[in-house]
Amino acid sequence: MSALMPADRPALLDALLGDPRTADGPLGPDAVVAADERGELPATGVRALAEYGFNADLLPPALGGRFTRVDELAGTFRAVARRDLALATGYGLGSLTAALHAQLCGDRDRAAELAELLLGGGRVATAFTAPGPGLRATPDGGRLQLSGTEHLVGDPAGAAALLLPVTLDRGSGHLLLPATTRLVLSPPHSSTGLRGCRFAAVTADGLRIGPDRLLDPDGDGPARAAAVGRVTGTVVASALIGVLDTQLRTALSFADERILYGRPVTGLPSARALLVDAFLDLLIADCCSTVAARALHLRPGHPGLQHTVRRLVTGLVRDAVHQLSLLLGARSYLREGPHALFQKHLRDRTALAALHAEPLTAAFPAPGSPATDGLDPALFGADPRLPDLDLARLADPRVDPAGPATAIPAGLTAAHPELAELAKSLIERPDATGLAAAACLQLWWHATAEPAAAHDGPVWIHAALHRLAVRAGRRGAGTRPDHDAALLEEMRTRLAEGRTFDLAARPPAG
Amino acid sequence: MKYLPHELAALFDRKLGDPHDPLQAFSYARCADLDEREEFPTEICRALDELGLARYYVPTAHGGALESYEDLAALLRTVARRDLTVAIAHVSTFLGAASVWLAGAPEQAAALAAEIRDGSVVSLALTEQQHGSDLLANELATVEGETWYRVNGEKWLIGNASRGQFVCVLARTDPAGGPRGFSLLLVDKRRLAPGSFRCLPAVRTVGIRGADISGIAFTDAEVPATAVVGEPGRGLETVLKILQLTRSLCGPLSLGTGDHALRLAVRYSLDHLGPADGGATAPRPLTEAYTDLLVAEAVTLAGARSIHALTGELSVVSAAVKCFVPHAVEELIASLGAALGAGVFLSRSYLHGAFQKLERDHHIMSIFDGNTFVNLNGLINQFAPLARGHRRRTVDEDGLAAVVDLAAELPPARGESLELLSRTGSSLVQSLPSALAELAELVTLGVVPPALGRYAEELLDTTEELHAAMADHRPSARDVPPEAFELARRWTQVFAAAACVQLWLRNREAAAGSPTAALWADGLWLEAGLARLLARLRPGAVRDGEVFDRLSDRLLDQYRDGELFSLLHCRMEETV
Repeated sequence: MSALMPADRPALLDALLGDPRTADGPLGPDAVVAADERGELPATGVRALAEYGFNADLLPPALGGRFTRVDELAGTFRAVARRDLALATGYGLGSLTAALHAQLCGDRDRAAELAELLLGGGRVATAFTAPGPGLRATPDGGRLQLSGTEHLVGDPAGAAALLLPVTLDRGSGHLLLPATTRLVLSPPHSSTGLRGCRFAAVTADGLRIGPDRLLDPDGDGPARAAAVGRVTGTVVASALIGVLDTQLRTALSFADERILYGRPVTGLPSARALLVDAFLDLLIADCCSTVAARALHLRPGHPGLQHTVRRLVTGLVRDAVHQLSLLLGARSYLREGPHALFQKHLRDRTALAALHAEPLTAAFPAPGSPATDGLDPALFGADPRLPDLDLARLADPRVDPAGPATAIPAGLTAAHPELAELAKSLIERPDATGLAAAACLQLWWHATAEPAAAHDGPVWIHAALHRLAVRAGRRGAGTRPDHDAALLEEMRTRLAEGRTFDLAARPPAG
Repeated sequence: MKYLPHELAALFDRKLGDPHDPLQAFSYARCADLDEREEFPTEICRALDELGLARYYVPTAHGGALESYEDLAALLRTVARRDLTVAIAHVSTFLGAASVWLAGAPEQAAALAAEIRDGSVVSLALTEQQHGSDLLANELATVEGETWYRVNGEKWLIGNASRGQFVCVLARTDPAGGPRGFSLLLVDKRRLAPGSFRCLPAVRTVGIRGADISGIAFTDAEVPATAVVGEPGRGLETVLKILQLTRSLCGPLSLGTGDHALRLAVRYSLDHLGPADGGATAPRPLTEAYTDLLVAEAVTLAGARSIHALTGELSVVSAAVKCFVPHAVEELIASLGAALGAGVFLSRSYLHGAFQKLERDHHIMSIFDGNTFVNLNGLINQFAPLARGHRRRTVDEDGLAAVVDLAAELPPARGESLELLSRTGSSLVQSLPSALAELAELVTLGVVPPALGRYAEELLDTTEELHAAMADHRPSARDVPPEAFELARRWTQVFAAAACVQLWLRNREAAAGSPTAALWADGLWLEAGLARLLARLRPGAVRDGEVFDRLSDRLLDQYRDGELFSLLHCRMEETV
């Protein structure tokens, strides 16, 4: 599947950040855990990202950056998140959100100003959804008067600018403020996860600011936030897959080393199955995330897709990490020792999920609309090129009419009738399972058509579809296919070679 | 219907004072502060001692107050509701002493009882760094003389190993090991020769940060031969039996934590998402969590009462409680956290950051005292008697009646009736088909809504299918297939359904005149509970979720009245 993902940037970044298995490396487990204990982002990692020029990956070429494709962007975030989710969140996510907003608002000066700030190595702290009235801006002569309180991810003291949602007399919008703005800052605190990011509240009481700080004078902030959320949500999903990648690596090494009942834990069929299931969940999640990223370019008028994928990937990663924690047992609960990285990622994952929680009152899209409608083959990489990302179209609330439902690829039924049967029953489901099955099947099918296919037999896809059937609670999903041994071997090979567990199976640098 | 254990718990809670008052010893503010500093809750534990909690760890036969495990369960739930770290730190003495009550000589038990009365802390030291749940591989060993044992080796990840005056140590007393090769030694640390032992540094953990999770290393530590608990060589058997008690008591610990989580969630949603006024109902995630908590309570009640009335079946009952309840509460916390988001989850300021703390604390519940796999494996080993019992509908009628009728008087707990394996399976599950028939009859009579009739059918089908698959399972000590774990997990869910159905059937009349009558009327909580359980047992099928909205008023009433979220009335010392 290598042709699908232009792996240049993620691979380059992976190489720069070093082998994450090396205990004494700049972003090795010891450094990452120690920084987390101090409630800081690892300084070595921050330096490495600055040297690499991570912020240029967040900006389009028109603003002096390198951001052209969401799948590539998602890949770079994953490369960082595999080592430290707090670093990916604290260093990159706020700045990405701000960069997207600045482009969407249409104010070239603001966008250029932010680009300059980011290319100079500055970071932007953003607000997370928290209850309360938040900030309000009211016109005051030619200026705006700002009052209220907002909660931030990221220590404002370490940021060069702040992106703050604000309620207006008509509608709502976002303010992009220099960090020097005289807001009252609460002392930053670390929470239970993403400790290095720090959280803080900012308060204003009648603070007067220039009107040009408002990115959405038209009050159309929510539509833009929804568009930005489709991109950042896809990036977050990809980052979470990076977390699962590392958790799986930790759990597999533990299970191969730990002797229980006279043999390694991986000698227990249930432990093998658990590890393999987590691997399958990771690959399924990666298929979905890949399709969601490509769909932003190819199908901008299908906003439900990113939403569905984000929820699905979040759930897959949450459940898989929970299962792995049962396998690690007490080792998943210790903030010290050789497996301490596991609990850090566990807490970070939980915290990130909370930051991106769906509010209690949110109306979820009603199930019943076929999730796979309109997924044309282009989404699955028949053509590796992608049209440019049209942010304005993402913010346009018009939803494209659904296209024809995804069909089982011609030729599959003849080559693998049993697989086609299983796939058909799943793809027809009007829920996330249907989407996931379609994504897995199509990506697999198109990749097998490539000479450099990562998975040349139907082992993986068969196991993945079966896994989806079991997860969806399909009765009569039958007994577990006998794939555990083969897939565990694949995992061990990747572990030994230091390859990633996702579709890219990327080897470490050097 | 007065449920006496709740009266006891309510009185106890009142004496602890308002947890929202930071000046109280056992306040939420204090617990948050101790957690932040990773400091042991010494003062809170002292307050619990002064209120006599430790007396409930000592059987009445030895001068304590432990007569009913239901009372102990209710008290632990109350303490865990304020703070799980404190509950775990304090209850360790029961873990450490239980073997002595079960197997120890009368003099040993009397002496230990006196020590506990005077405030001594007892610790149970089972696990070793390299062996975890594989107790047969443990290396800590003894050599023995006429009147002494000499202990060498190390125990790790032990609650209160450093703080305890006593450590009940599982030791290899026969170098060959094996099921009869281990003994329990009640070690009085104060009497060990200087230098013959050393407490290992406290381990830094994700949650329960203030608790003393450490270890102890012995080097030629000499203890008198009278330190052995019960017959030498029977240590493992004793441990496996007392773990049935402690695993049953994990139910209330989780339940209390879940209660705290739901209370925070309701408060948060009322504070920030507007009051549920004008006929509006509480958001689904809240009413679903409420339902899950009520189901977990039914399982916990059945577990605690089984200690007395279905003692011989406790090996399966305790495994079901230990697997089901912590898992249900863990999921409940996760889904509430996801629904509430960062405002409650990540905040250190909102209600002292209690939610993020209890989330971290509660992770331990699936790990310690036998992790989920160990317990599921315990059930898998008993598939044959469980399948047979189901086929023959074997039921200990008297025992079952005492377990599920909450007004029935329980027989005294008899440790000698504990069995390593249940010969008769599970009376609760094996009586499910007839209980479902009774439920179906009530549907016909129009006493309960038709939905319960459909659920009864689904449940019966599921139970039959499940036991058929369990009967087909070919026992294998070594290569247990993953499917067997899935069957065992499903069995715990069927156990939960059986607990719900039986408790509702046997107490609905008594409940009719009680403060929680509305919860029981028309099978309301049962309908909601079975809908939730069937959603796990048979996912995919669409069931009407409207029943959860009908629970909304009950949830908000119990919240506003400062009550425990419970099937049974229990007023807590809680300002709203």
